[in-house]
Amino acid sequence: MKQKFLRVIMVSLFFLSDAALFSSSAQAIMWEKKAEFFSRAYQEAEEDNAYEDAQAYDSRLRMENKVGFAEDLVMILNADVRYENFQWGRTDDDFDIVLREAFLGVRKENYSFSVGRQIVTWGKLDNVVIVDQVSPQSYRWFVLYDKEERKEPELMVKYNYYADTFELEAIYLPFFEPSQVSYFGPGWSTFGRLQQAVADSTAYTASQKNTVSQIRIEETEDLSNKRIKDSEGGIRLRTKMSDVDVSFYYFNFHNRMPTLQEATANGNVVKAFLFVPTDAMLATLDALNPTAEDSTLYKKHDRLNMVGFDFETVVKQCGVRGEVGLFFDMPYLQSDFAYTRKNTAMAGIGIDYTASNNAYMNLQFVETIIMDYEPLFSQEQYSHEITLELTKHFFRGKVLCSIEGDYRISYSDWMLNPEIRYIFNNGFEAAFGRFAERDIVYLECKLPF
Amino acid sequence: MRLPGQKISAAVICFLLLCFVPKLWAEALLDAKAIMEHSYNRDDGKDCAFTLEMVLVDKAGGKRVRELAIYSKDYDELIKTLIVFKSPADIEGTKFLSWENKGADDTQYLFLPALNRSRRIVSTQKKLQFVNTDFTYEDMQRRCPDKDTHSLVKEEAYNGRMCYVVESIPVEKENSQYSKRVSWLDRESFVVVMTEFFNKKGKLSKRFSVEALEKRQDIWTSMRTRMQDLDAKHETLLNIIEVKYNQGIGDEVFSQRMLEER
Repeated sequence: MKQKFLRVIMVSLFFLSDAALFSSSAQAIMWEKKAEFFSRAYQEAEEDNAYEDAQAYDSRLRMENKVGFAEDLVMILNADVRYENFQWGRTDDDFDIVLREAFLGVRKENYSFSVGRQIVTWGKLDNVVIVDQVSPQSYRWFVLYDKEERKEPELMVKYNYYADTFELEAIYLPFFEPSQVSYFGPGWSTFGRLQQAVADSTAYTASQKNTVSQIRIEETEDLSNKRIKDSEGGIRLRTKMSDVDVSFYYFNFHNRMPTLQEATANGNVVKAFLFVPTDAMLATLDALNPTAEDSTLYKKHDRLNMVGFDFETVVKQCGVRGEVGLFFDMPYLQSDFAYTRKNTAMAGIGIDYTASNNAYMNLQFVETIIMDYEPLFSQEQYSHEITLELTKHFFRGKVLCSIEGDYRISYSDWMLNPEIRYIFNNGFEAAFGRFAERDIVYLECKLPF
Repeated sequence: MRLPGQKISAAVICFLLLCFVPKLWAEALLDAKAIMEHSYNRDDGKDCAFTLEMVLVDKAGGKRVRELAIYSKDYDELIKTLIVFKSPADIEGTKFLSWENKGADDTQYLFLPALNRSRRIVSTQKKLQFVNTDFTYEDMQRRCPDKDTHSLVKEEAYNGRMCYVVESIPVEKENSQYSKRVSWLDRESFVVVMTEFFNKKGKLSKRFSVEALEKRQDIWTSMRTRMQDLDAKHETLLNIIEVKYNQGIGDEVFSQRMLEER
């Protein structure tokens, strides 16, 4: 811990110091640096169970650097110092420094080229992932942060060609980086503290406790090693047709979200228990006397092909945009938790409107269609989702009131996040908000410098 | 008994009035439109790059300061403009791109760092405030003289400079958020040094004024301006820190690429 802390201090000093200290030819270098301190404190408004986090804290110091070596050569170097704390009777915390974007870019009149860790944004919908599949995301805090804040940079080579009437973007990612999904433990892990809850309970036998405690979820050995044969590539062609901006996509990639794959037939029962953790299911699993191999599930990131397009235009007083993606052999869990793959189409359309009083509204509808459908676990053949965002500035931008909502019609689950944010003259922001799903209230502070 | 000469004299006077008053009136109209056209077409460089300080002042005197850069380039009769906000942090990196289109609405994009992509915005909602300033989108756009009927009201001094005072009323009422504008145009430079904006009810609602007018690279430049919202008692001050004309700004500056590139 002490060594980690010292490392944090040393790297922070480097990022925040004056360029002149490190270069005798500093006059020729353009160095823009900025930093932002961010902190959120979460409080569970209603206790649902003893194993959820009653309070949680997420603090981050983000340091951003843009160094221009010449008119057409630039380096971006960003890092986060992050501290996370989850409290549920005990305290789980983590403290680290993470290199985020680090890439070198060449900018010419008709083309640009960049290599390094970077983030790519495709598509036209806000906070919805259809064609925007390139950058993995961290779901450590689930969807408490917007899509762009969740994105993680990854190593890639990106080439853009700019013609008069179109733009071509080609990306090559030599290694695969999955999205970060926690399965057990604090915060928003998929199965929460299930193992801890079973271990602490007096209602279960020693055998049942042992059965649950030996469940493991691991990366496949193949993808945990960085291998060139797992590399990915994609292209985007962007152009204008009449008054409509359109883009066409192709991407060959590994599914960023893992599907749990069993090693043995009994592994399906392990999955069934994890997703439907009832006493009856635990009894069924325990009766099988599962081995360590039975109890080990692997995060599988299947290789997929995606073709898609997006569009954006203005119709009357509204902005209209949408995107469509066709995914070949998308993995799913069947109703018996066995593993299967289906072609899947996703389409979304969004409308923006700004009223005369500057209130902004954004409504999006997303449809997912699974082809050649057979009964799946928790996936319907046609699923529908609506997202809504309403924002309004008051006092000439000093106060921002917003509400974001997401309703998955097919599954009757929803999230609502109202927020009030005050922006001080020096850029300091304080926000108060609430996530209605899981009843969380939060207070946020943000200070740029 | 009326003398014959008096009848003829009255007829002649009437005839003369019918002939010449419309002509005089037309000359006054023509002059007003010519003045506005001269202002619209005055030399403001083939391209320009400004660095500005924008100060928003509320009625309590509280100030919020922003720094921005504006790039603009002429394409024959049309103009493309890029605005980049540099500070403070809550707006830094926000960019606005506008392309005038001949005979059609402007094409406009807004880049928001939080979305990491550019978004098309509606250019026809002219009443909307531009990033919480006292300027609306209509105020930000050039207004072709053909869209208004102009009349020369008077000539008077403003800030020590002789000005034409021209009243402009929209030809199509729905084409503007204002019922009329009254503009003071400097006789030497044809720069608009003050404009009074009247709302749909005919009430004076906003006032734009130039507080410092200088020649830079032989081009008249409004170095310091003020837009006052008289109803809200709020104002926006624009101070040009640096200006460069005719630098040969490339077309790539006014592209989506420039919006999205870091």
